[in-house]
Amino acid sequence: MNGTTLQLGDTLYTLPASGAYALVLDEQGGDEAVDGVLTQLQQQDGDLAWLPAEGGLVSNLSLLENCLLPLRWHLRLSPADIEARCEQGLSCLGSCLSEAGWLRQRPAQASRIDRQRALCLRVLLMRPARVLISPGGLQGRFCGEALEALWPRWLSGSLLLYAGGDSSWPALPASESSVT
Amino acid sequence: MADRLFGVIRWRRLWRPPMTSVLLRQLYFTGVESLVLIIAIAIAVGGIIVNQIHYQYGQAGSETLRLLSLLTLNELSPLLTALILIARSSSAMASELAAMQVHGEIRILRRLGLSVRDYLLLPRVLGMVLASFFLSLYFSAATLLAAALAVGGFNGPHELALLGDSLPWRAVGQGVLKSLLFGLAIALMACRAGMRGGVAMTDIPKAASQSVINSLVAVFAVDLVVLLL
Repeated sequence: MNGTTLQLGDTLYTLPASGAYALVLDEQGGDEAVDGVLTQLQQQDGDLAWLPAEGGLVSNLSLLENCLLPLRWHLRLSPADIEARCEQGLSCLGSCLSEAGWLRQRPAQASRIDRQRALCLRVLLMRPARVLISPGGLQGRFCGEALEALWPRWLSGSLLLYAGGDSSWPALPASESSVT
Repeated sequence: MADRLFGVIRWRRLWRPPMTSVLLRQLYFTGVESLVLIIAIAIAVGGIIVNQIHYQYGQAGSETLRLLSLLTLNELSPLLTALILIARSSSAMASELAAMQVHGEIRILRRLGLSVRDYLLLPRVLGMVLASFFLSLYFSAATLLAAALAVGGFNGPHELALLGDSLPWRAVGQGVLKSLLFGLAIALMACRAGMRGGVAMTDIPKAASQSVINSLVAVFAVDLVVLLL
């Protein structure tokens, strides 16, 4: 997918189909700035996933339902395909469906690590062309270690955008360090 | 014909699997879980009205049943069902949406690329409309059966069956229309109050009470409009 454009302030950026970029957003902007970027990207192509730092889960759904929600909304997959994706995603996270009892918990019942695993699994299930990572989305004990290993293999052809007030970028296979 | 066909196709595209889950949950909480309460109240209403008309004023059994069926199918059943739904489900629906708003979950859904209208509101509105219709139906059946048993004992169901020929079908149609419109009004008021919720925890009970008051006003206004038509 080529020609992704993004307007930040007065500047228009054209981003390549793959690679990793840090977007230095207005620190005052907060959630609205992230929303602005997401809206622009969604309007151009729905093939997009969002990886937040914390939260990002709907409280009245289990972790599994949270993971499957965007998948079932955006893609029309058969139950067998969904199960296969779950197995693959979970195996990358060092688990499997038969051992994934933690996925049946509600976000409030789950540990912080399980919530982060669910957020990562949600992105992996979508296999998106573009991923927007909120500030802190790759931090934390689990994500920091697991995603460094998973990202190159799973989403090597994807465009990764790290949106935050600073450009501190974890050890990812970034082709360029920063757009702005 | 083509428009109809394309309408169906569009509807199929619009309807996505997660919406079915929300619709089924809404039907369960609003419809199935209210059923015992609705039937209990319906039986009590049937018994009370029969007691008033038949035993207090000495009206004949068949005439009592005819009056009660007219009153129930046209007015009592949709209205009392709506009042129970307002007390039970409208406030719950508004609170849930307001809590989602307060906890930033509506924003999360938007960030995931989901349409809040399609995922959260449409199945809730549809669920409430369907629940209102079916609960109203059960209410009528329970009221009339209870009344028939109270008037005619074991012969009651037979007298009830005889009513079929003398039922004013326009009134029945009005009752069905009312039950659908009441469900729609309650759901719209609850969604409106819930989605208008602010960012403070105190906005959640405010949304619930606002939803109850607005739903009550809307239901009586709709009732009046249908009556005047």
